[in-house]
Amino acid sequence: MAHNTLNYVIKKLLIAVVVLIGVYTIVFLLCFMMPGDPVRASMGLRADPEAIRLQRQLFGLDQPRYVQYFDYISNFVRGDWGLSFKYEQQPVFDLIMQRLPKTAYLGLWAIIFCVATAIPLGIAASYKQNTAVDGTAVFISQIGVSIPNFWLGIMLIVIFAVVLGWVSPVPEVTGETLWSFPGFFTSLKPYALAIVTLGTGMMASVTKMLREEMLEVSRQDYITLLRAKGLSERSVQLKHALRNAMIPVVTIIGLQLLILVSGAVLTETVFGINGLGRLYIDAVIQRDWFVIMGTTILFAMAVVIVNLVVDLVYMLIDPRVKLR
Amino acid sequence: MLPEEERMYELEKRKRRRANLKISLHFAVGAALLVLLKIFLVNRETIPQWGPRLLALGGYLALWYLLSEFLYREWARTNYPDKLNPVKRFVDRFYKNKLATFGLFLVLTIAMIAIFADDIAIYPYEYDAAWQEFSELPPAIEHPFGTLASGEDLFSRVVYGARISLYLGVGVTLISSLIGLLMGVTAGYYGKTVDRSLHYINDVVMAFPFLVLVLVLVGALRANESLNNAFALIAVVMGLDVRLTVAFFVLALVNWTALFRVVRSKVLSLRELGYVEAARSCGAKPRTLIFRHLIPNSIPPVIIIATLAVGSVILTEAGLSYLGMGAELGTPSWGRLLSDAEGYVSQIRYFPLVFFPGLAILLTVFGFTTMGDGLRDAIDPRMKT
Amino acid sequence: MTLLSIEDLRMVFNTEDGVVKALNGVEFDVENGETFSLVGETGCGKSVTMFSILRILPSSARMLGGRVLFWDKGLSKTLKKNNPVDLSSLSNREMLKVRGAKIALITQDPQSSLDPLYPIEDQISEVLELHRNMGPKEAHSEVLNLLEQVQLAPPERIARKYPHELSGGQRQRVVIAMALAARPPLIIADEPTTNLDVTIQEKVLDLMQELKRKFNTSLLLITHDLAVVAEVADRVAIMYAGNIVEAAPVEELFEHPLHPYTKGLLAAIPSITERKENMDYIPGSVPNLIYPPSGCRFHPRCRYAKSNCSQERPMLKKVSGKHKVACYYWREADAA
Repeated sequence: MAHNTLNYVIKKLLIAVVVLIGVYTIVFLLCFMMPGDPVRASMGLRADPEAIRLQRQLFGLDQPRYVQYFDYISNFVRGDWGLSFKYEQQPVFDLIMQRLPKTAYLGLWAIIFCVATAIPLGIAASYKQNTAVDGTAVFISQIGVSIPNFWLGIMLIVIFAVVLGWVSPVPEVTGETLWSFPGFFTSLKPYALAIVTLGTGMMASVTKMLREEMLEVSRQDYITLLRAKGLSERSVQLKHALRNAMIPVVTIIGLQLLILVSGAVLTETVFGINGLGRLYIDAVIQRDWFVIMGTTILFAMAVVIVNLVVDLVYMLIDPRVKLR
Repeated sequence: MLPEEERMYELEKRKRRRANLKISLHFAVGAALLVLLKIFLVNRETIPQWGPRLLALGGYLALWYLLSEFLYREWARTNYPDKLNPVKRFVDRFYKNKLATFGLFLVLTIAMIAIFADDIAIYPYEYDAAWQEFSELPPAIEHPFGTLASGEDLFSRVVYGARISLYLGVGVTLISSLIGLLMGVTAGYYGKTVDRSLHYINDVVMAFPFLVLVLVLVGALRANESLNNAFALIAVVMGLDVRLTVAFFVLALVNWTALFRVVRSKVLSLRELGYVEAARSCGAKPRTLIFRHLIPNSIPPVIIIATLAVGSVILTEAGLSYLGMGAELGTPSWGRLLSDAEGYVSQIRYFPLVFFPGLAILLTVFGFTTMGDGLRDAIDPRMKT
Repeated sequence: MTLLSIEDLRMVFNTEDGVVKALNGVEFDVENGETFSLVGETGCGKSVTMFSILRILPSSARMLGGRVLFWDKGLSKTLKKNNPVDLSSLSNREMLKVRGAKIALITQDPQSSLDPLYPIEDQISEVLELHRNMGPKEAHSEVLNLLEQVQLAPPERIARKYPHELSGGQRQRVVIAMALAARPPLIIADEPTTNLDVTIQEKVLDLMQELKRKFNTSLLLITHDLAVVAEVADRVAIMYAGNIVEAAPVEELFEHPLHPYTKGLLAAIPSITERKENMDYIPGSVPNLIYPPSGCRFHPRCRYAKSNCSQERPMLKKVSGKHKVACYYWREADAA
């Protein structure tokens, strides 16, 4: 049994690596193989040709493409992710690490918000099907899925920061404070609006999914039999229905990471947070190629790792997935 | 069938075909008349005042509705005389879902606004320098939502924004749905290496957070001079600005992943049904199988996913435009309008500037989302306890 | 001695399409130690009856009248012994002590009747812990004992497995074991063999009969399969569109059916020995229970029906011994 599990894990890891290679290739193609010169593009058309040549040498861009391809990846694993064009040639790795705490904080609390709200809501909605509670939950989750993330942020700012004045629109907390104690919790207030903005879309998706799964499960024969065994309704729902419904939902929560990153780009822009999302969009607009490369690969790595973890968790919680 | 029965059946078929042809002809004539009516009677030149024009438009749309309703009745009467009309049953099931019906209403409203934007907007699309003096005005009767810094009427811009959103939403979804459908059917049908390679491409594309991928592609394409020029040409043809055109193509190229998965699994499950093998052993060519069986049976889930996809494309385009990577200044994309209004957030006086474009996005996407979910429930009727 | 007695049970469902009058005055009783079979076509209300006894009904269900009397010493502690309890009047909390402990259920589809996330042992222990207050060690050995009784071997290995690792027949035996676990005096079996392979059906039926004897329970068998009835049941009740139309001991029903519907059912069974050009069938179709026929619900399809059949529903009347019919003109039908 264990032998097969190990095989499964290794297989998944290999697939993940292959996918990452594909990702890297595509990103490399996009950033460096487009006809035209990235350095020239970012320095402007009127730059001095000698300066351009020096820059290119500095960034290793005078090498043939395939050499660059392998150079970059070998540097990457060693922690050298290139230099930023725009930020006075700071190492990309440092830049990213600088910005990471804020995005991570935002993302973590957004997920917590999502799970803490969606699970009770989803259970309540399926339990009281076809009542006002269910209808409201469906309505709210449909809105949550359809509302533009950034507009929600703006509206929250208008209501809570401008009109009510409870918080300032831009949370001004340093990265160190966020991940220290008690900064971890006291920073919730300034970050609250951003967290809600980022988490709402996810919350709505998960609520919808959980409710549907709970309804699907309660249609199953074994639920009837469990009731006939004399189990209280609460036992039936919590011990059996919920556990079954949560299995696909857990995978959904894992996949929300995709949305999280996209949402972070927008949320950080709205709230003026200097996180990874902001770094990314600025880099794209300013054509700071190494930064784009580094962050894109980082994002993709995160997604692939989370998917892997989700797969493993799935294997642990669903006995039907045990391999023969 | 006995020979007499066969002859009767043929006669019936021919009668029905003639009747259907007659109905189509009626519709063509009626539609042509209505289009002419619109060109000559109901437009900005003939009715310059906004109020009366809107009323005329309402009446005009009522005429269209009457035409369709009448012809539908005729069609149902000829083709389904015993009243067991599958279209009607499906429609009834859909209407039971009030939220979905409301969504459909929203979608139709936005579509009407987009189609008849020239009549619904108070001010025309082309910018008039004379507007500059009306810059930054609060809401009034002539400007229900107020005006922008350039003096443009916000209401009119939001109305024209419907065109941008639907153009992109529907256009991108059509193209990416086609791509996803073909790829999914190919993967599901041919299996083995073809399937595995297509699946791999799917995995790689899905490994990128969506917005990230789109941003990278848009950025990369814009950075390349020759490509940029090519897109400038395409942009003129499509009637959009260059950056938005690039966004259009990027989205169309990238949005197929969800559809691919669904179609592929549908095709695989169809294969398990056995009739694929049966047909093959009878010598059916792959092309017939694919086009006559696999694709038509995959259409219902495609329609559902496509409807939902329109909503998500509109959201993505709005986000792109908001970030500055989508519509350029002057194109009335709702997302763009929101980013232009950023400076006014702290002033409550200008609240309409930040409120209405976003509300428009919300209502439109909400419409598509609820409609799509409603379609799913209506196509797949599971018994409610 | 009577164990269960249903009196004039009337049940409706409020659905989107209208009010479904599912049970129209059902009455029958189950004696101690017997196998009583409730027979009818799909949609006649036999499952609804079963769920009404156990009070596992969706919220759209409404009971309009009737009683579900159950004789069991454990329930009526406050009353004198041999006084039955009306299950329909109990609170939900009180019903929790009845379900599984006094009346157990065996469901139809072994594919989906077990929670896929828990191993067999846990599912059976659930009943033991709930109704027999057993601790983990005691429950464990009892589980093994039960598994042996239902002929699942080796018990240790089976107990650790998950539902998806067992075959349909094995899963059905687990369901049977779960039903027996609390030693209930009455077991309701809902089409227990319908979804099994024919070869397994025989085995499971035999097993159920043997266990019924060993554990001294009564069996209420719900089915549409007359062959199963013939083999296993002591008494039968035929159900049509929410009513019991005939009830009798098994041999008598097969030899001498009285109600026109019963006669039609039996005549429709194809026989290997007879030669026929066309199959016999009952004309018409099962009525829509939102707009059921007035009076006797079978009258639109009955060739002996007269005007009063559509006015007032005939009640179940005793004809001889334990044979009852709900028909005004059974004598005419018999003579034909």
